[in-house]
Amino acid sequence: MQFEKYEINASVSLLLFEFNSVGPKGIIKKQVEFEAFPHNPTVFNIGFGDVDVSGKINDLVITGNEDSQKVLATVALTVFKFFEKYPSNYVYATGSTKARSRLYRMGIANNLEEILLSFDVFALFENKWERFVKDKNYDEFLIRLKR
Amino acid sequence: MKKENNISTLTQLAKQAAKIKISNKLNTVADTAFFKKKMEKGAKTLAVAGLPK
Repeated sequence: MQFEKYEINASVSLLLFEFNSVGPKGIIKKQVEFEAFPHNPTVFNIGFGDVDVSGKINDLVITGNEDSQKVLATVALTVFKFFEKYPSNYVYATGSTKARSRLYRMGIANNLEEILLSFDVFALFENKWERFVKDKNYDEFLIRLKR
Repeated sequence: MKKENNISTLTQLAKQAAKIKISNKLNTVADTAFFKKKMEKGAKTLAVAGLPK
């Protein structure tokens, strides 16, 4: 993605990332986390959201910092970094709401040609994984390094 | 073609790496609670659909 991105701090494991969103609502700390599925340890769930005052991640909040493209591009960068350390694994993504799943779908669709240079992107349709195609209503996604 | 793609991937990874700093402090902050719903949904999907060929 050629969009501007935020600078990121990453854990040594490259499973947890943190960056600051900067906009009209101020500086909002965000985290991205990858976690392996217990029964499918080669697949990692990705989640991200705002860090609230107690230090917990809230993935339902709407930040309102008018930087969604930059945030999405930054999250995409964490995916690149994840695959640097875990090249044989998969990343599973779904939104915490329908609207957020739609945002992911649009983010993939709008950058599909570039994404496909590096990744295989699958989406769930009628309980089967198929290659992601534009203009189809998906809710769950699976990404791996291009094979 | 595949080799070109691999080079493209590596080039992109190298370009992007400059934006990321490794921090030891982050290791203890992990909070998996907010994942619960998505993990359950993903687990069900993977149980039914498996992995792509």
